[in-house]
Amino acid sequence: MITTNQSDLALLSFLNSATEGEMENALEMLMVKEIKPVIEKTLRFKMHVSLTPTDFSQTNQDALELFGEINVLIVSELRKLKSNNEKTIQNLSSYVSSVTTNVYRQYLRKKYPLRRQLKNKLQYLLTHHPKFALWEDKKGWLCGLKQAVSPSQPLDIETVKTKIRSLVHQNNLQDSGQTVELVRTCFEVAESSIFLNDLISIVAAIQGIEDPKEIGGFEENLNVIKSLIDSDNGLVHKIEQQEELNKVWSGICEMPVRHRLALLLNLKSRDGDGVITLFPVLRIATIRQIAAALEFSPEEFADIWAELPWEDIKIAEYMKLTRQQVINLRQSARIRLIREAK
Amino acid sequence: MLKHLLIEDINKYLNGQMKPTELLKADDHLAVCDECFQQIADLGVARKAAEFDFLRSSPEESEHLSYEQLKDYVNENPDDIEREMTDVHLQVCLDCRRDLDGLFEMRKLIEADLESETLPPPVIEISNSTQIWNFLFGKYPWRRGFAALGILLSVSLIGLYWFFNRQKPNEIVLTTSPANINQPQNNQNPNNILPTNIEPNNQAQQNTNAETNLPGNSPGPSRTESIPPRYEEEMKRVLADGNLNIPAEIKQLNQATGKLMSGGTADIPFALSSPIGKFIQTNRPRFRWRELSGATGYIVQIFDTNYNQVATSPELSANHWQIDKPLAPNKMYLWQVTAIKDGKEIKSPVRPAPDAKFKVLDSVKARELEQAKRQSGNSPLLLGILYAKAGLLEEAAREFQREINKNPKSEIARKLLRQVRSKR
Repeated sequence: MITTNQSDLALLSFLNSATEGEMENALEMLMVKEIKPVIEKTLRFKMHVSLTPTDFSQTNQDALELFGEINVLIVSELRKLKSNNEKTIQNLSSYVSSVTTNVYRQYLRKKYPLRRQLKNKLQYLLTHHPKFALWEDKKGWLCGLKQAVSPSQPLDIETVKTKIRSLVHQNNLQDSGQTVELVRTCFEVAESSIFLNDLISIVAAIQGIEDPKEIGGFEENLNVIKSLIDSDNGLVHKIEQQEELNKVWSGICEMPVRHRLALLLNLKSRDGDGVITLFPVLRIATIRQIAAALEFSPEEFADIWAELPWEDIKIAEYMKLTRQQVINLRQSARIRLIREAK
Repeated sequence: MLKHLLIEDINKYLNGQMKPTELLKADDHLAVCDECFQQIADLGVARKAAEFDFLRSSPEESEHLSYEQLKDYVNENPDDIEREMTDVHLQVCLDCRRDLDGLFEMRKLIEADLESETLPPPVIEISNSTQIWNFLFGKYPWRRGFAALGILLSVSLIGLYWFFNRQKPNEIVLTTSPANINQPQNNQNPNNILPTNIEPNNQAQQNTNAETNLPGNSPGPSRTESIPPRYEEEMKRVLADGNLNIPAEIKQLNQATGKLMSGGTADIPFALSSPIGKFIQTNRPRFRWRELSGATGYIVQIFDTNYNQVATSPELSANHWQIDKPLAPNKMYLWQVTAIKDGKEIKSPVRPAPDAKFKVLDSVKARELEQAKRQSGNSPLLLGILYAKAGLLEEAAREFQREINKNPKSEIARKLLRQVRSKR
């Protein structure tokens, strides 16, 4: 029986369901009442879409497909949660929102790599140049000259484009080295605020930044997302091979010692079993080699071997860090190994 | 002789029940004994490799650095742990490295923009033709009479001037905007070699501007001023073939400067800002670097190219220092900063990172440039060409940009600016 201390209350009837039928019913209720509304809300906010099937705009159709994929993904994760008592979801709504945001980001990253990079750059410019400002109101993210921060009506993109057209070549604003000047000119000709997304579109158009369409197919993007987030992506099977395991060990050794400590001192399977023993047993690394990698003497390490895996709080004490820092370091190490293993 | 492990030993080994000394012995044995290794394999333990599922990604965790992490890294805000995590990720993620480069590039553009704002504001020029037009057809019709008289007088004066000066040697005349350069009067076809913004002398004379457009605080030149002959040749050559004469040493100096200015790696724990990879005019430069989080002091050391220390700072609390004694001209120097943090010394850069190099300008060239500034202050184009020739690429870029600001149609200024930027 799973108690309220472990998981979100909303999940209890699902997690405590005894039969297949009960579980399916509970899952259905969860999806309708708790999960789908959060996915919809998050996607609507992020993608500015209606999510109505009769809206045939490309973005809305993409959003609908993402919506379906995220549903499938969360159902799959919940089923794993039911069969695995180790993992918990303490806040379902926040979990669903995180998954949706993450999948959406991966989608953007694959579909619009150049626009995303430009957005980062402009966001940096607008928040670091003393004369520019970026602020949010109920309509979305707006930007402009700092002295012009006001609730004035943002100028539409076409007007800005028309106004700026003659100045672009005259002042060489298409050169990426002139981005600051280009943004300043946009604000000056607009004499008003501009939506951040419009500014990105204007700068992209002027600087000729266009994401290649041939690699942006939605199906392909979804496949990439699936492969990124699907736990049955073959990675685990792949690492059963000795060569792959050796690569994992090499990857661990290439990381800084704090990463190695956070990862290896708490090396657990999803079931919570310590799996550090597998390194010597599979002849990937001896106990002496692991000790050296963690900057322990062999004797010291042999002394704690039976205690492993250590809890995070103990690792934190040993490393003189906070528990959260240890968790972050381990996550960073895992993500690096996952990327290397792919 | 090897003593094989018994099945009880193997079970104790697998279940963590061995004493430390036994454990190490068993481990040493298993590493070399195929027979015992096989025994463990036969127990099916190897199948547990599937339990390496800690390498499964979770759908709620991002595989990339967030904008906040990237921004903090660029701004050198993160603590040691955050920085280490970012470094570890950047080693394997090309996407995030590109994102980070983009932010570094933007930081550089912002810094350049803010620096340029500290220059004297450009004079807003109203072209002479506009002024004349306003004068003639503006608010006061009586001006037209004065204008007619003025034109008559001007024509007479120009005629007299031409009469008395027609035998003078040819000279190039600098003007303010655009860079109007008078051609030798006996040049049969000046348009063949000069860009379109170069106009004959008789028009250029009317377009000269006041002294306020000078870089720095140099005393102003006369309304028109001839280019000293030694600059004239260089100016003509560059305008004719469009190629700047940039010293080859620049390449040696600015090798991997981006890396030094980014910092955040094991060999460059904190970024150095300036002077790096360039010639400098002053022999008492101010050294700047990014703060190292938690550092309580810094010491700057300057070396010659044989790694002999030529100067060192006292312990500093700020992240900049101006050397008190002059450095020898026409010499290359390397510099390194030692940060003191928690009683430890952290140096930046250290091998294998590239050296932070700069070269003090030759004193003759420095004097020449000062003279050129005084004499030719109205021509950013000329100054840019001379700065580039001396290897002062930032200064050259600034002058070409000034020229473009004044004369947006100047193709030659754009071309020269691109050349300078490509070498920085």
